[in-house]
Amino acid sequence: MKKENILKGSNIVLLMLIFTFSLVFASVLCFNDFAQAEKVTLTVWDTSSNERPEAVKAIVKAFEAQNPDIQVKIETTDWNSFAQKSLLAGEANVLPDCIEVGGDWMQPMAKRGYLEDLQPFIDKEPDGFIDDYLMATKDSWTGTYSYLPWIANVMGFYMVEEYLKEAGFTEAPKTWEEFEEVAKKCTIKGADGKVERWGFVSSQKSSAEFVRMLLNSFGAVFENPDGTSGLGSPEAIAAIEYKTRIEKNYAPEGIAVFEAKESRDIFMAGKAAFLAEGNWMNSMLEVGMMPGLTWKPFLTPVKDVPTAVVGPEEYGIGKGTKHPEEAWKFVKFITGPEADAILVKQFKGIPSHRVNMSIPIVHLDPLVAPFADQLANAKRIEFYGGYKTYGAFVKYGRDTYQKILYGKMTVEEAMKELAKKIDEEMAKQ
Amino acid sequence: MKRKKADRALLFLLLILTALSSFPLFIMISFSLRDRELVFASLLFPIKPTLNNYATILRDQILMRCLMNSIVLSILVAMIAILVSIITGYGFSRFQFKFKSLLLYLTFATTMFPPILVAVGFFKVIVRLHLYDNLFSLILVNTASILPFSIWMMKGYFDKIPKSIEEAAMIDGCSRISACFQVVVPISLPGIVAVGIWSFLFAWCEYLYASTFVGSVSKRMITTGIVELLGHFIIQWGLVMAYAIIISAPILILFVFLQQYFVSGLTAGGVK
Amino acid sequence: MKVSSQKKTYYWTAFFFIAPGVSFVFFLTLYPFGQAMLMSIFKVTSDSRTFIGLANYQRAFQDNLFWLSLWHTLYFTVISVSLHYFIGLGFALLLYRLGKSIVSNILRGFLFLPWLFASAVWCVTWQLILHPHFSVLNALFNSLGLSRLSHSWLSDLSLLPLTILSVVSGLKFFPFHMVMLFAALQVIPLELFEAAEIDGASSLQKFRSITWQFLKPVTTIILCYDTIGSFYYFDLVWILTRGGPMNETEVLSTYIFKTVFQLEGSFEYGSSMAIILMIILSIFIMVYIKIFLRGEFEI
Repeated sequence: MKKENILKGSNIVLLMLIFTFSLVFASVLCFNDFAQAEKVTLTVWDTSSNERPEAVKAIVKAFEAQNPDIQVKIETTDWNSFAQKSLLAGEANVLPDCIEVGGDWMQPMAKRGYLEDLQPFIDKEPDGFIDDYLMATKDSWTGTYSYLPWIANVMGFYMVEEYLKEAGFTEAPKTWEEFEEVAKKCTIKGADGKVERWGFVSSQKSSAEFVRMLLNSFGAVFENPDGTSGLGSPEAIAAIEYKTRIEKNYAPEGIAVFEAKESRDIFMAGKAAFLAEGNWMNSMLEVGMMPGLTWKPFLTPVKDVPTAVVGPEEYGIGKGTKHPEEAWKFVKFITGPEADAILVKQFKGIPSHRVNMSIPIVHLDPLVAPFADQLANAKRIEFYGGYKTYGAFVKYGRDTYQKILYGKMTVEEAMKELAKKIDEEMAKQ
Repeated sequence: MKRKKADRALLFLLLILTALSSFPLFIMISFSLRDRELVFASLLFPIKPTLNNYATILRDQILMRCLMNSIVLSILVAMIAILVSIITGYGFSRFQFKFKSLLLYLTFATTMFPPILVAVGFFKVIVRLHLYDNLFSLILVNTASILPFSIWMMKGYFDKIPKSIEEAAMIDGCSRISACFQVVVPISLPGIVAVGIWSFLFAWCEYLYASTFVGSVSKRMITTGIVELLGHFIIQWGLVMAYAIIISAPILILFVFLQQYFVSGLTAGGVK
Repeated sequence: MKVSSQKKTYYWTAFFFIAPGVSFVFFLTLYPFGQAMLMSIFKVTSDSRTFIGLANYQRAFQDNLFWLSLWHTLYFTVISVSLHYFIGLGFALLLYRLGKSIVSNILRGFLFLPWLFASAVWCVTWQLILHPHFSVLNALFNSLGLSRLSHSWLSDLSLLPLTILSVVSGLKFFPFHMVMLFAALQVIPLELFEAAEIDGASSLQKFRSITWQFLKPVTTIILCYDTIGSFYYFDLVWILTRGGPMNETEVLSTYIFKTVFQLEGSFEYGSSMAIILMIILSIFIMVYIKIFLRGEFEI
């Protein structure tokens, strides 16, 4: 009897051990990629393949056709985790050959030295190379080109045509006064006195599109030449006063805490007439809008001159890449005019190169034209993400707006405090 | 009579509270049955319930791959945790030596480390060992995270088992290891199941490590997979909720069947 | 001679049993801790890595947002852990009273639900329930005729968003407490209750002298684990409010995350804050064990 027990017991344990270790080994093996020898394989990290998979595939295909000795391996991460992933990889020195950067982590990536300096590569290119880019900027921390823009994003507004018609308007507003009037007329109360439809909705991020468009249009200087914040200036105060007035009167109550998704949810459910966003919303609205409603983008209203705010997405080369030349070829291609043309002609993108501004579809397609025209006609183009004070602005901006909306401070006090906080933060760095 | 009335009242109270705590589940199901455009058309119940979301997800290769990854990871973590905690728990339970309490306390103390530091700090090690983007690294961290609790549980369970049984076996010529595995372990099945379920659950729900140590899409876990659905632009509530139900179903089923073991395992193991 | 070699085998066997598990755990936690300590004493720019000693820690102590987040972390932990415990205890007692029946088994299964769902999934659902515009909770109240109760949950400052978050957390993790306490209740020999009944003890007295004695050790353990978990809890705050209107719901875990991955990309500052948090937590736990158990805790 005892002998039987021993056999059974040890068998089970032994089996379990073998099973565990073989599974572990199997997973280690089959999850490990064995590198291929001959071709140079570029590892590219991006996030755009999530939103524009076909576009990225088309560009990669064209690139590989032109460069048969290079193979491109794309690893995609979603936008929300991308910052975390990139920064961690940078810290541990496992950056890929090419990496997409954008949003709020563009500056930290460059600042911490995770991106190769692109200037030596640019110097080898023919004259006028960098000028053809509409939005190329030197990083404010490294002082050099650490990344180049491959997708042009332009901020703008969307409207629901039916709601405007109901309120008696046939055209989109052209000035900020008109904008306010339309928003007012489109805010409709139901029989019970509660608002059924809002005139306006937007997100409450520090760098919300509405804020940026207003700051630019009102002529506020974001960062003074000496590096201090210009957000305490009269123009900035006027811009935020306008924003507060619109949001307090014609936008849903909880707007003080809205992230992008809440405002988009509301617009797509047909509960608001205006939405402040950018051209990237085109694809989402095409599939998600409440059935029966027609939506249209329109140009940013004008205060004194036409303006445009851009937010490009960029590509950089990971520091320490083993294939710098090939990596540069890829970055040059994906940010270059040919890839740009693919984006414009096939995927309704907005040109990021001067040379592509003359492609007809750019100014004819009703979803692209408002943004492209804005870009073409603007007398003042701003890209706030490039300023040194942008990081501090993102850190404190939203609190400031909320303080104003919750009535804790007047606009003037709040903005002056914001500028001060930003300056203090910069001094610490 | 009075007892029965009081019990019925208690039951009623329990039912109400249970309903409340199940409300989120109800919402999940309700929203998972809605198409994209009609998501907010009505709030509590879907207007036109449809199973489209489930179909979309079950057909999506990537999401199903995530599910499989999580299953594999959780099973492996559970098995290794069981094995190691049995051995360690037995050691702590049956032996006396200097610094024993200190070691035990220190082991529990490691749960006080901020996970974010573990993630960031361990990341470099992983990279140097060329284990980035490898399931193995996740197995390591997850196991290390639930080992303290598992060890404590197994030790507690073993403490309950009188030493006389093994002593009898050892007098008959059994070695320590055999005594452990062939005598004590078979009796401790509920405790083992409890540790197994606990470890499985931990690895199943774990997000921070799964998002840090593993990069490519094919190796995502379910917790990071759902973030894909949350998207950059809008949240596709219908899909997200359907996904939530799908990934929670295995756990719920597992739990329904093993509940008894779990509770009785904790009875002796976790409780003095 | 025989005795000492027996002793040797004894200790070696003990070593082989204990070493794998313990060293595994230590390596995987002490090493990152060492890394983090190392990181926290440096300052990094694009071309240099300078040693700055404890400057990061100094910066943390002077950072208003750090103290605010710390306070919020403590507040959140105290409220959610209390909720977990009391709701768990309540259910455990109720289930215990109902005894073993199919009904109570099924109910117990249902009560486990909140705990079984992955945290992120659960929080996303609560996003819908407390949505600033499409709040399902408000819809429920409206349909039940209780529209007075509908609020703008996460943006109305008078509702103390942090408390709301604590309540949401309270509704998720109580099953853990419930099952441990329920298991503890099972062990109590029924004779004790019968004896107390005979002696004419009231319910309260019975609870205090019998039930509570059995529950004390378990209580300590689960409160410890729960406190640690709540101190570091990230998902809930991040998904629902991201730190909330004007930092009202900013907890240290979200602030550290923002510092490291968003605002500055500063691992160094983040590490120093995390280490401070850990030290505070360990003091908390040590004081707590001392007070609660007065060293009676037997391991």
